[in-house]
Amino acid sequence: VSDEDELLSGLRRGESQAYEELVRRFESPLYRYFMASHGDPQLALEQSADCFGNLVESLPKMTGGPNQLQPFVFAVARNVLRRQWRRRTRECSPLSSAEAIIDDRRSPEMEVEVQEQSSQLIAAIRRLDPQTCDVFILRFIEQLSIAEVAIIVGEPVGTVKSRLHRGRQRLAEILCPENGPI
Amino acid sequence: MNEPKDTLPEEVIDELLAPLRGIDCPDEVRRANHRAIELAFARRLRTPWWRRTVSVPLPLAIAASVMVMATILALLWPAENGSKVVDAHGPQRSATAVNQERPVWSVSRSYILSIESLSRMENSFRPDSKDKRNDS
Repeated sequence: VSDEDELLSGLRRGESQAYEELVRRFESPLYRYFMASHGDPQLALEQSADCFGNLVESLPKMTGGPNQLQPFVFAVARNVLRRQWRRRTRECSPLSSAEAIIDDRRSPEMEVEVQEQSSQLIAAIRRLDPQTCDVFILRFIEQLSIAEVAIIVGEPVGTVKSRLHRGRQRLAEILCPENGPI
Repeated sequence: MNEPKDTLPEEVIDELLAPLRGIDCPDEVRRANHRAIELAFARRLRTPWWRRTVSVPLPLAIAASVMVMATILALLWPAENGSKVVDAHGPQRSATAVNQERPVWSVSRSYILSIESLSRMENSFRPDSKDKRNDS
């Protein structure tokens, strides 16, 4: 029995150690996912905690093998995000807040450059429609496979591919309006 | 890669989004996550047993509901079937037995009707009764 199988059976039995491991594995990816979706660290904190709380409720009912765990966790995160979208009508949050959490092991000049770039990117991604934005973050930031993204968003692989293509087109329009070099 | 000019190649996007992949989870978020898990466990323990749910495989759930339906039908069927059996003996029964089962009101009604018809007959046999009254 692999570690993954043990983890999954521990999660299904509701063992606290298994949940500690779950937090260790997914806290950064989930926080990144929420941050990239709206750029508000406080909201990302709340959503991240909300997501783990929901996972304690829903993981014992999860079907499938260990390879389904990551799509399942992101599907729960996506539901948390969608609830938030319904509650708020995509109000703008200060982009400067995203700068505070970027890794600071770089030179000050480089850090400023990276922060500016990240803020611009988050702003550009947020200008995509919510479904495309979601698919885009999962594919290019969390680096999940197209098949995994399709499971998470509950859409066919073809639809995910066309969303990614549209997202890339739109991002090109946003980031380089004159079609110049990037 | 042959990309149309109006889209960004995946490599470029990968490179562009690399700084976002560097976003790390702050300690505050870690603490909040652990707290959320503890709260969820506590909430689950507080839930009374009659409000707890269990996941049951769909085939098992269908089989159980079919069995319940079959049991209910089996309990109800003999009662309905029994009444049909009694009716099935109907043509073989004697006329008196059938008459005995008729409702009482129909017997009384036929009795009253027969009295009425008798009285009408009696009146028709006394054509001079009116004349006698006139004479007096």
